Amino acid sequence: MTTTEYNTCVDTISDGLYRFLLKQTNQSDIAKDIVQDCYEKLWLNREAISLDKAKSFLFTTGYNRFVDLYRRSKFQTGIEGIRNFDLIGTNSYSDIQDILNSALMRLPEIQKTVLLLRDYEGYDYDEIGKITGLNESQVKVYIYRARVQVKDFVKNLSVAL
Amino acid sequence: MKTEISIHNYEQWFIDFIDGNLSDANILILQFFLEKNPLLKVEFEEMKSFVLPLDNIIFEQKSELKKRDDNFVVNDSNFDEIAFSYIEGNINSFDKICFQKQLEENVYFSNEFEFWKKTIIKSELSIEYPNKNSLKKRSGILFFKNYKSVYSSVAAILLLFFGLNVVYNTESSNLTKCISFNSFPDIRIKFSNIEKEKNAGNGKLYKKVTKNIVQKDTISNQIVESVIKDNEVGLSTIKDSVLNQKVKIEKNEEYYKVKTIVLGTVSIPEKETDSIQSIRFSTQTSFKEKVSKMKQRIVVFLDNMAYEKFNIQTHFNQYGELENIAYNSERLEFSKPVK
Repeated sequence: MTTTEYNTCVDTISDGLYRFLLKQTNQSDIAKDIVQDCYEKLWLNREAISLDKAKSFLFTTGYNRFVDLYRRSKFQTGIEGIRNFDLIGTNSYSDIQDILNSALMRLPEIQKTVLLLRDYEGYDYDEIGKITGLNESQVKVYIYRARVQVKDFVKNLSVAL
Repeated sequence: MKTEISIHNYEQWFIDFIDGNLSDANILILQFFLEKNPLLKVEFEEMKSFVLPLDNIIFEQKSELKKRDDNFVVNDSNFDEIAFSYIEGNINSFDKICFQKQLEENVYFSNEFEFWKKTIIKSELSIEYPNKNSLKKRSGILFFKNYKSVYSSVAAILLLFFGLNVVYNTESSNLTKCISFNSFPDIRIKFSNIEKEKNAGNGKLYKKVTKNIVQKDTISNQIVESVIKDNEVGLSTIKDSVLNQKVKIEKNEEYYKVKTIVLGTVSIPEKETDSIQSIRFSTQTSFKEKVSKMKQRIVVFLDNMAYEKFNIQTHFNQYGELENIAYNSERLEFSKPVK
């Protein structure tokens, strides 16, 4: 990968990667740090990584880094999210995006990951499997469970409103 | 039992052979017959060569043609599964039409499917990575785009310059002389000597950084390794009226080369959130975790200065006291009174 190709990756992928990590961590500083890490790693390995593999490499690295942090630091974004939601109440949602964000925060980490990769980046089951280390069936099952939970959350909220 | 082979019925035997319908015994009979009739053997071989090889062409739309025994009835037990397949795009067009038709007929399923449709998370394009430029690498000479970084770079250069004066003046008279003659020693700042150290006191991980500042005097062509122990920087006096120096920071795969700037301390902030405003070089700094983060920040900072040419002019008064440091590049000028 040339320097120009690397910089193209920054232009085209960094926003998506940042959004993905921001949704995962719910903390912009951590998300930014992980994005930096990913690109530093890409730069160091640029000789071995071609342009068409760069996106997958960045997301895999980002996901692994997030999992490391998640396991090591045990920052409980999900729990905080739920707590905030309970405190704020249902009337604070301004639009469907807010509702979906809350629903996302309630999902287990792996379900959130596969759903974000699916919907944000449009990855197929095989690609998601490669990034997360799951097989295709597991990916499909996790996406299904995630969608059911999100659907139930939106539905219950609609009933409450 | 198969009819005995003869010149009247051999074609049937040939076809049975090609179709794989001959028993082993009959194949032997056929071979014996062909040996006795060489002309027919030629015909047989030709016939074999006309057999079309198997092809791997697959009809992809197979599922589209299939019908369901249950006539694709959506019910409570299969609704979620079908709705999920629909959302995921895993449903064939025939089933899709059937499903849509049944949604039109069933209000409950129709409402339920509206919730399913809402499970698709739309990407928030308004969220963008804020420091995209800092991730980029430079392949040639680049210019500062951010004037803020220019000023912080200038500040860093000046700090470096202060440090230079102190050490040259206090630690090595030879080096002072070298500078006075406008030579440009090569300085290589490596980030390789980073070691982990366990702090027994509170059990937290600290990292000790030892910087090797390798200094090469271009005049004498000698390499001097200098280890700086103190990061206190003060003003010094050099008894030249005006000292002109060019400062240039070059970037390499492994290190940053700073010409004319020699030492000081890399002032690494204790908190990760603190931005690096200035760089001084030091041999030893302790900070908590994430050496790579700090390293990255320093690299980014040096990156901003890479390839930029600076002129630094120092003015001394009649008593040999440093009075003013002036900086200029092709596009910017900056002057700082010292005294």
